[in-house]
Amino acid sequence: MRRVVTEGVAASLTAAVWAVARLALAVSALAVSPTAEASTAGGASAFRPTDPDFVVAELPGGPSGAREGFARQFELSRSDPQLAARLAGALLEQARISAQPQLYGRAESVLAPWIARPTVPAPLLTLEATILQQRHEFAAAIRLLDRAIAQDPRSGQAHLLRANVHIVTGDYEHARPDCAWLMGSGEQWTGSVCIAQVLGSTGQLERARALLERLTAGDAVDASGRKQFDRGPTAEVLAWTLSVRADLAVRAGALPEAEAMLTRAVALTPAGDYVRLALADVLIARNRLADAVNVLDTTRPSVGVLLRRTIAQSRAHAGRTPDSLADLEERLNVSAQRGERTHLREETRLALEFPHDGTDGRQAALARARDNFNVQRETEDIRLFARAVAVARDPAALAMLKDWLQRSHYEDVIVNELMRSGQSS
Amino acid sequence: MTRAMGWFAQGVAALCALCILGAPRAESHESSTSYLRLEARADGSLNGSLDVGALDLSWSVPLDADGDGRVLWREVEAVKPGIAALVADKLTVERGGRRCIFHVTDVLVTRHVGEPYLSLPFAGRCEAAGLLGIRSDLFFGEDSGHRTLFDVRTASGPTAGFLAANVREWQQLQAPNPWTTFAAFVVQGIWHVWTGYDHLAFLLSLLLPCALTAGRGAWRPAARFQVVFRDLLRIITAFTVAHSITLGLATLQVVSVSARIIEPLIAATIIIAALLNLFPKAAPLRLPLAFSFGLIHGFGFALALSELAPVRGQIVALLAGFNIGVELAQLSVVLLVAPVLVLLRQSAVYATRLMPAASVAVAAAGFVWLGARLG
Repeated sequence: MRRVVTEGVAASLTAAVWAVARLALAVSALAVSPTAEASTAGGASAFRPTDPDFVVAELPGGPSGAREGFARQFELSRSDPQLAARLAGALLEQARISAQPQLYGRAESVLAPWIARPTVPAPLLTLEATILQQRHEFAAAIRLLDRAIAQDPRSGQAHLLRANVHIVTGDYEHARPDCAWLMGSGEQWTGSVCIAQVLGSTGQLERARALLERLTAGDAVDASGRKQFDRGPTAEVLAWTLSVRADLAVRAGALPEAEAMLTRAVALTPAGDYVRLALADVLIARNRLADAVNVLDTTRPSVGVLLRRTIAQSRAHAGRTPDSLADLEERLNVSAQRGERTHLREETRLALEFPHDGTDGRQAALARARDNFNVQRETEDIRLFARAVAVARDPAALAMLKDWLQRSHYEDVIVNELMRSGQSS
Repeated sequence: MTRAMGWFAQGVAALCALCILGAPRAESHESSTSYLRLEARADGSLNGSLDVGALDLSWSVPLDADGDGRVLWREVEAVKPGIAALVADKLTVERGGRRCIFHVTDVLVTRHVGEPYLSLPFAGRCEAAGLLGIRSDLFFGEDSGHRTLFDVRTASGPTAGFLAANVREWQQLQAPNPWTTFAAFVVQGIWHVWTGYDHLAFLLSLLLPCALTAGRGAWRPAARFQVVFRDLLRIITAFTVAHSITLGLATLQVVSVSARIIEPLIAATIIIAALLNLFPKAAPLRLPLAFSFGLIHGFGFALALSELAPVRGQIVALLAGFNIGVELAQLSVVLLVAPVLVLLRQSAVYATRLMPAASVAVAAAGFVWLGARLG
């Protein structure tokens, strides 16, 4: 009798397990996402507009007559270095004003036949270096600028750009002579901003802030008591100066001051991408998320804009995936497919803001932050590296960062705090 | 000449320091990108589309006829022949060393990364068979930052990559012989089981009671060798059929399951299968469990295979090869273990001590893996 019962139980158990097996198979076939179509990447679906007046695109940068002119200018510039310099310069200027990155590529194509020659006129070298800097090819930019300055030691533009590339890469000691040259050659304003950036990163943050405060307060006077500047700076130069002041204020922990500086800078150059992004960062840091989104509203959605919008939205509505995240990831994906490494900073920030679980995620964020730190060392890059080091608790990376901070005497309240928390653990 | 310069002249005056001062920090931007999708079928047909940025195209084709800075659909329609001619001039596709004949069949509107694009579908034929080659000169001459991202599909699978100003051509590589792929993946399949301790552990927990029969609440030695053989055959076949099903489904991308779900599940199957060996009454469950757990292990094999072969060409050869490799490795384990079990079964210690102890050890290992995979 007992045996019969046991067998009965066993049989019904067997049937149950088979049922589970069938169910598992059915579930795996139905509930699991089908992936066959997912691999075809890129773009919305194409359509044919029904309205003849449907606006396909707005062309930035003025009437299209100029585009037709370009083809002819492009041809002529192959035999006229001055025209090549003017054309490339104008394209760069246009690229900057209208945030049309394609124009950097066009400017480089104008320069290409000249850059390939054994001797290149200095202005063309400087223009090419501007493009290389934009693409984060800093070492190559420095090499061209060294050549340009050797040919034409009086080029203020080349000296300023070389100082800037050195500052961006954290090589402050090499920036110093170029800043001094600018000061000594009558470019006091740009020279002062230049030297303030060096001082601010080499242990004299307060002195640098005071220097720029005097400069922008309009009370800069020389030894004889006369005002140093007959004319004030242009709106662009003043906006740049204010953004440097804001950067130093951010590192000193003075966020309200930074906000005031950047608000002025945005008013001076409403189309300027950089100052808007910087202001959005300060607003995010002050937890004024709606204001941050507003500041970014009028700008073309670059990776930088989308990144900050995503961060602000996700912090404002915790737990909800922001709409802009998919856009941002698509852009970063296209950039990676293009074989570029120019978005390391944004990728690092994204990885730290939306961390993947587990050690692998932390190590991946640290690897990105380190790669980025090895390319560029502006305030945000150094902070991101310090954050990634603190999160991953990696002793080798901590030692690397500590060593660099000590050698350069770099100051930043946030970095200092992260380093303290890293050491205490 | 001065007049022809248009707005370029205006920029020159402002140039000097400003173009650098205005961008003192390297804020990176996206540059221009075209997207080429192309499918060349074995029957010689060639289909695809080229998506080009409206802004990029406006430099080569007068898209804004009235010059108001806006491109209207009517303006695009008016220059369709010009657009088609530009593509015909700048984009070449070759197959087997001969140029394919194709033409742009339509102009549509689309978007990529938030920018306006024109999508240009094209169709045509390649008279020759053989390897595919593409070359584009579109925009590269006047925009050194331009890239054409391509997604090419042929009978041997899809390939993605990009063309740039200094690399304007892509040539399909000779695909390896399917038998070479097959043989390589047989080896990979064998290797995966032999070095994948978790599949070995699961197999072992299925095999351990094979030389025993359950009766009256206790394990007893199987009376005859044929009984052992039949039991082995049924259990191993159930496991094999089940994991072949899911390996195939997952590899052909009919279904996909995350490694985060499958890896802990595999550890759980080891624990359950090993612990059930302690209960002779559960013996009838072994066959259905071998099947249902086989389904889970198949996903595990598929994950391993996807790591080995991220590019999906010659899918039949690699799937068949890998699966046969897995079976061969399994068979080798059975041939190694089964004779030992057959010999051991008569020893009284085996059924009462050794087999349960080994099962507990396997289950313990399963618990360790489960912890590691959930952690």
